[in-house]
Amino acid sequence: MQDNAAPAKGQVPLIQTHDLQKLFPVKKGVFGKTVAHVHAVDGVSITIMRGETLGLVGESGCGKTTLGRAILRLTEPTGGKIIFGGKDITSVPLAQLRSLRKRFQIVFQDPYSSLDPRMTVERIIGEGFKIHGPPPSASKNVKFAERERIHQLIEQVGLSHDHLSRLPHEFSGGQKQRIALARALAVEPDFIVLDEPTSALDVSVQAQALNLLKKLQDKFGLTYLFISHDLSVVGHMSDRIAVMYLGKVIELAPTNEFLNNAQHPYTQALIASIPIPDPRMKKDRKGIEGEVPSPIDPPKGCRFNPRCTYVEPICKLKEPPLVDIGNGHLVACHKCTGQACAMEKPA
Amino acid sequence: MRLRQGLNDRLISWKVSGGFRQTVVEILERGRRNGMVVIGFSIIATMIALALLAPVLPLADPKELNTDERLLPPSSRHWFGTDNLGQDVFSRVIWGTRVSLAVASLAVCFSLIIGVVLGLTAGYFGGAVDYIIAGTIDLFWTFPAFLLALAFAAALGASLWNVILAISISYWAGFGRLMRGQALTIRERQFVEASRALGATHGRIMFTHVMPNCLAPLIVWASIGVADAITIESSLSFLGAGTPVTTPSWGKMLSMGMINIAEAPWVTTFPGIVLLITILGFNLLGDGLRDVLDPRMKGMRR
Amino acid sequence: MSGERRPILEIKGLRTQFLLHEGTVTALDGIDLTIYENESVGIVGETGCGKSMTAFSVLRLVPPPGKITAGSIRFKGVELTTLTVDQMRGIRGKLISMIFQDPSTSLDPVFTVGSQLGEVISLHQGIYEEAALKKKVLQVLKLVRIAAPESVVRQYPHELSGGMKQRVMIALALSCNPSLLIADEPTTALDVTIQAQILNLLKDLVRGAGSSMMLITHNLGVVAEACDRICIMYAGRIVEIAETLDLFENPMHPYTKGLLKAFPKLGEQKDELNVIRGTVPNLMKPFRGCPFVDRCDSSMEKCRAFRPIMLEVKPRHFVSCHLYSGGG
Repeated sequence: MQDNAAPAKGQVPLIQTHDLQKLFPVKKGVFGKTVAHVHAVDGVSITIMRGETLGLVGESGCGKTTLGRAILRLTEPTGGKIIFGGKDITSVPLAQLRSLRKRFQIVFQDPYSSLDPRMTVERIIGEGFKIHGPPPSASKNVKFAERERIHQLIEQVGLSHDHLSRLPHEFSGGQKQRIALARALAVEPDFIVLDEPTSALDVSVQAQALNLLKKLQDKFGLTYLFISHDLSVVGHMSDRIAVMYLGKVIELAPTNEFLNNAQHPYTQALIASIPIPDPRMKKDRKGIEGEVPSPIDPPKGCRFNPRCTYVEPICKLKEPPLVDIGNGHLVACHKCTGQACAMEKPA
Repeated sequence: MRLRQGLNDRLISWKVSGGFRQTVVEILERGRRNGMVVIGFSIIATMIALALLAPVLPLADPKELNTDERLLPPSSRHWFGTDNLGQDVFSRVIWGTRVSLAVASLAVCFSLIIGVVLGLTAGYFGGAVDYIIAGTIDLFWTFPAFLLALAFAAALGASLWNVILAISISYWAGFGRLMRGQALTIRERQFVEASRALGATHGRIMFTHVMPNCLAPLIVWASIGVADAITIESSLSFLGAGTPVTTPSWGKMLSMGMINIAEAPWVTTFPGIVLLITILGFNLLGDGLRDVLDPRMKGMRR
Repeated sequence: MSGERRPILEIKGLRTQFLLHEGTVTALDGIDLTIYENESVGIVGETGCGKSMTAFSVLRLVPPPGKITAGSIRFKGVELTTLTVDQMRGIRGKLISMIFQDPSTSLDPVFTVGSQLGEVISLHQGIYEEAALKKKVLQVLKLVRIAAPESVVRQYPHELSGGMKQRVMIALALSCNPSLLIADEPTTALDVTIQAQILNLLKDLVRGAGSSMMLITHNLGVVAEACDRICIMYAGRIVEIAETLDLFENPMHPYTKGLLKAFPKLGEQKDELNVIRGTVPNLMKPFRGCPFVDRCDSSMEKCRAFRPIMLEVKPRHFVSCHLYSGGG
């Protein structure tokens, strides 16, 4: 399934996935027989444009984190292709992949475990230079060049020089995330996967971190894949938003279109479930019934059918394709065909 | 005063340079407050001092046989008396520290290297590699180290180096298990994945990230390992499978003194006590360090 | 609103400190809060502000080396700080219940759901006869809207999803009809769609039973929905208490205002989020004056020197800030 959406921000696609798939085997018994598969990512084809922020939302088990990692080949995909900057990197050998890695980086969710507790901040940020070689600099002295660049980076993320000789445990969560960001930026990537970068942070610290991310994106022309379960944050940061459910992308649209005109029943329920910090907005907060299902051997037909209020017989038989309904808005639902979506309120 | 200041500065800069030096400073700071560490350390320091100073102290020649002076009780001339070959027990006890400490430290050193390299590889890579190495570790682990050492020593013959070798081969499994377990845990931590994302090679991750984070239990284990190694060496020497006869070894002294234990108890008693104290010292240090380096003690909870 | 209602919980001047050898951390520095019958009060603040510590102090569950060093906590007229351990046990779970953030760690993994619920009910309500106990357990599970209680009763905690586990926790907490339910970040670990379900459940159950709830969270959206009054905490002190609508429409304390602005709101397209400059103060260093002074845009000389007291600036709207203390 191809993503034919008109590009939002940048005009040039940086990353494309074709039917990307990641299945995890479930083994049982003494001999480790594979009895089932976890369909973490099950045929995802998206395009991320250079310079844009694509938001990726969904609940636990939807596969958004796995997708982020699969694109970077931090977990190896079990099917499909990844195209980065026009080049197919799906089966590039490990040695070659390592040198390509400086072009795409990741910032993890948990600031407390993503930094080596035994290394100073300077060494943490500078690790990229030890792997890929020193940064380009006027000076011939390698150590000096590295030093200089690290100083530059620490300033860019809003920390100071005397933080460089300290250890991670002396910093707060927000500061640790800045260090992680500096580490990612050191190798001058084009693309950064932000895996729930602010979920572990307090609201006011989160605000600072998000502002910093935006500033750096403008400055360096970075492309972001912003993964989060928090739709308000994603809505603030992204140019386009994609929703995943049980391993598949079920809706993708430019942010405004997404928030004001979501078509998929799951997306609508997701938007309706967000607690709004404003008691005046009383909404229909019924939300969705039922539990978030397990991605092991998902339901037949449309994966959302057991919980959908608009369910029809066809939904249980056939999986709906991702169709373009105009304005760069893609939806995977049987109610949406061609240019319109027919949603009637259930009886 | 200036020396103290310089030392202080050195400690502070070490504290922030991460890795091994950081651990050392932590040990120094927190160890000071822990009773077991202090006592253990004092004992060990005394033993090391004796071992190093033995050649320059005014001691009788430990190897001098003097059949006239056999089995003399403790006196002002022979503080610990003499044994059945007329050798001065006190002098032999002091010289014995060199043997025990040297053999034990070298043996632990070699065990550590073998165990760490194999354990780290097994834990980090997993899969078939882990299967094979872990199996080997388990194999060596099931046999009591002492029996293995005895078998190897008997096979190799009695010499100091053979004893060291025998103990190393028997003891490495403990370190291997430890490192494997640590490696298994740490390779799941996110900073390891972050390193991979940067493009680090496996070797780099293993030695720059995984190893330094396993230092704490390793140090504890090594300390107790020295105690164990001393015990094994002494036992081997006691049985005649260890160091050669004339070399002053506490174990040998114990075995030689057994024959005359009724009439001349001092021949076995003094070496025995010193052996006990030394082993105790290393055990205390190890236990104390375990308390000190326990991560639960770090920082406060919110 | 709260006029004729009787107070259930009256906290006055509560101070909880941790005595470490590096120094003393003052987690709570003189808290005054009253919760009335049949109302939900939200306690909002960021990490380290003391909101969880307030709950632990009420239940006398402060982990050592922490202890309550000053103040009084009266529950239905009874002073809790001076009760014995046995007396407190009689209150916990029965008169005051608590549910925690992560249900996975609060349930014992080696016992079935049914036996854990059964244990609590039989201990506090004295029902020992098996059939009657089983009936009560099923009744309680139905109350928390669990679809198939007969099969859930036989399941172990790890077989349940996060949302189900939290429902079981709520069932455990409410099984003895406590007068006060303390919920510490009850929905933070759950998926968004499940959060909505659990919040609705909590609201309905608490209201239905005529109990009161102390809801602790860092999420302003959650309290906007589930609480009658909101209390904002910062650095171990309460800075503002007001009825929900009033707080959102007329926030008074600069911190509250900053917090409201820093929250990204769906549909509001801003380039930059409002940031409260600076960082939270170190609770180990004692400070006179207002703890927010270094981050406040409206700070004055006296903010550094004198601690602001909590005043009722409008009916039922309390603020602890020199901007409103009159004079100056």
